[in-house]
Amino acid sequence: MKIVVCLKQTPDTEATIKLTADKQGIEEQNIKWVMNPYDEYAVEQALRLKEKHGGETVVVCMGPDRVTEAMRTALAMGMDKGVHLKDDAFAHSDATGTAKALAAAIKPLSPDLILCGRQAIDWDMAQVPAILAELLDMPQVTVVAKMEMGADGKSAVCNRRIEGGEEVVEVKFPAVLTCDKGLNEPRYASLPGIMKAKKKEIKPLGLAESGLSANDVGKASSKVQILEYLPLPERPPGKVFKEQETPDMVKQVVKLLREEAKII
Amino acid sequence: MDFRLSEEEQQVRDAVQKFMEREVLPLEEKHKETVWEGRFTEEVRALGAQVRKKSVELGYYTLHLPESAGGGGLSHVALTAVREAIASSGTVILGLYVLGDPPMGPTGMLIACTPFQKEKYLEPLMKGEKTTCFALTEPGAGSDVAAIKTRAVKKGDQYILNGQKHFISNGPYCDFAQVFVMTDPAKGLKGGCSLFLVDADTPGFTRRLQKSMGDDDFQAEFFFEDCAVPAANLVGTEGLGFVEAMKWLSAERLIVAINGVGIAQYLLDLGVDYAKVREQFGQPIKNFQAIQWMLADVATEIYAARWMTYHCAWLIDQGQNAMREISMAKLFASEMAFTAADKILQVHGGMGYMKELPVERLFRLARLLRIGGGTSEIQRWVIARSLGL
Ligand SMILES: Cc1cc2nc3c(=O)[nH]c(=O)nc-3n(C[C@H](O)[C@H](O)[C@H](O)COP(=O)(O)OP(=O)(O)OC[C@H]3O[C@@H](n4cnc5c(N)ncnc54)[C@H](O)[C@@H]3O)c2cc1C
Repeated sequence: MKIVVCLKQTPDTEATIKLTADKQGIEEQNIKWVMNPYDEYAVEQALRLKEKHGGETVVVCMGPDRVTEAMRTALAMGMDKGVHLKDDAFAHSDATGTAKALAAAIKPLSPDLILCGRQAIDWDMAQVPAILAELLDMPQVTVVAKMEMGADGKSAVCNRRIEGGEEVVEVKFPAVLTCDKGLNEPRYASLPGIMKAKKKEIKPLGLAESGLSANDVGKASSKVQILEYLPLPERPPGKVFKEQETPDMVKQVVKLLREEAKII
Repeated sequence: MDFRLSEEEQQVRDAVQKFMEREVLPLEEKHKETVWEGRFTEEVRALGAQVRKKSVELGYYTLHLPESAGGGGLSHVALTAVREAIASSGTVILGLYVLGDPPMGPTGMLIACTPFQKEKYLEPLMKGEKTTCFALTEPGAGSDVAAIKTRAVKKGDQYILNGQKHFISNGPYCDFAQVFVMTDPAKGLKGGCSLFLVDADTPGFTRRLQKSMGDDDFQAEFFFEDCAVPAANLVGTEGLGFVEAMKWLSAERLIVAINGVGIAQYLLDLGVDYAKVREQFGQPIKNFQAIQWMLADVATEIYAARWMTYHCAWLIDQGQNAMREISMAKLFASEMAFTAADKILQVHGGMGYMKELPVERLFRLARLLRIGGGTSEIQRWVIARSLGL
């Protein structure tokens, strides 16, 4: 079985995000980059499926040179090889552009299964996997918290986390699945894994090799234009009540919670 | 000078940090009641063994040993980064089980051991199935190592040990001890001092727990009374035990330095956070310049100590003799860590003294760094000698 994992490199969850002066992006200096945490579940799932059913695992990632670090981490965890979509033309793609590029890289691989994280923790859009499934004409199951391979090896039963419960669906391969927390416990890259990863292939794939044209991807193709980024508004200072009778203070707090904060 | 890590080294460091954050710290949090006492109870040691087992499986436990010996073969700069990641994580006790550094784990000085010793001692250490300790100090021989009196006299295919050791870390719990003894007192340290591996259950070898500051329970006193050790347990050349060990010991001093840096960094982060939330006189104490300056000084000293330590590691990687620089880094970083702990405790006021926060515990730990691995005075002595004094 051939499994592709789509991976994104995102700022570390603990990174302090600062906007650039023109508000068109974030300051990339001094940011620690990591593999998108949800993608770790996808990598782990791919490795477990391979361990059980055999096959090949390929990690596909689009981005500048730095993203190979995240790809190496996936290879160190045990993925077999990587495809790196790398071209200035890909920069500033929106979700559709990104999915187009990924689809172009994935299609020739003819995978049985494509695994993604449920969303990237930076832009939180959760759109790429869905568009990718559409472009490749595959069914998709999102937010998978449990996955059981079918006896035929060509389908899976997946539990999706939904409001208040779970939905159980069956899906036929090839398919796109997005992985949620709880699906598995991602492993750590072991020392032998890290050393082996050094020798694994990461194939660069530029715009020309991908078979796409400059109009398909990048800023020009974006159906969504980002106007600007805004920092979170400063939190207004809290109100403190003191040096009054407690019952009076409680009354004031309740009144404010009801009328100002409107939460009770 | 270039302290940059290779891509693989960076990955190893990040992987260990992730292991700390996701495995070790949550385990400590889960068993907070016992772990936070910072004592080596049976339960804590069992948790430690659990961490060690995982670390062995992942290949982290022996990162510090050369590749030829089956270790990770990391550069000293990379090792320093790994150790800093562990020490600055805020681990209470279980972090000690991640990397097989002294006193518990396999040390470089055991690499040259015989095939028999390898099978019986080194391999179980590397697999984390056994732990050891480093027994050098004696009641009459602390800073003055040359004064050690414990004797070994050869009798047939055995050596008979008599004498005493004390303050031996992991002494109460080790499976076997690495013991330095005099085989030829007339020749002294250079030619008369040998290293033996002594199983904890050898007849004539008894140990007694020595409680330490904060009621800690990690040190033991050893007694050898006509303790017969097989000649096969002699490591390296008879009489050259100390000389051969010195090759490793000086680099191991650097572990103390980077621990100091890591602990101070963790304390600084705690101090900065606390200063932002603690309010007095109607405002956060971070507004007071007195508090700001304490934190600014700690940050600056950490910076200095960190680069001294990395520079030493780099010198070792270049194959240079960094004896004096290592002493300087050990001296500066351990003194710095204690000053930092003191200042950060001050920033926390009374809360810093309470067991509810980790500050008082780290304060105690930082205090040890000025003594263990050679006191600050002994480091100054080494430095002074290098100046021709
Ligand atoms: C918690 C802990 C764990 C330890 N773990 C181990 C271990 O695992 N294995 C092991 O072998 N040892 C261990 N030790 C022992 C440690 O290495 C010694 O305590 C240390 O080397 C100092 O020796 P001492 O305690 O005998 O002090 P002393 O040598 O008696 O020193 C007393 C004071 O005199 C000063 N002094 C001594 N000589 C000079 C000099 N020439 N010039 C100026 N000042 C001098 C010292 O700096 C110190 O301030 C441990 C100690 C502690 C406290």
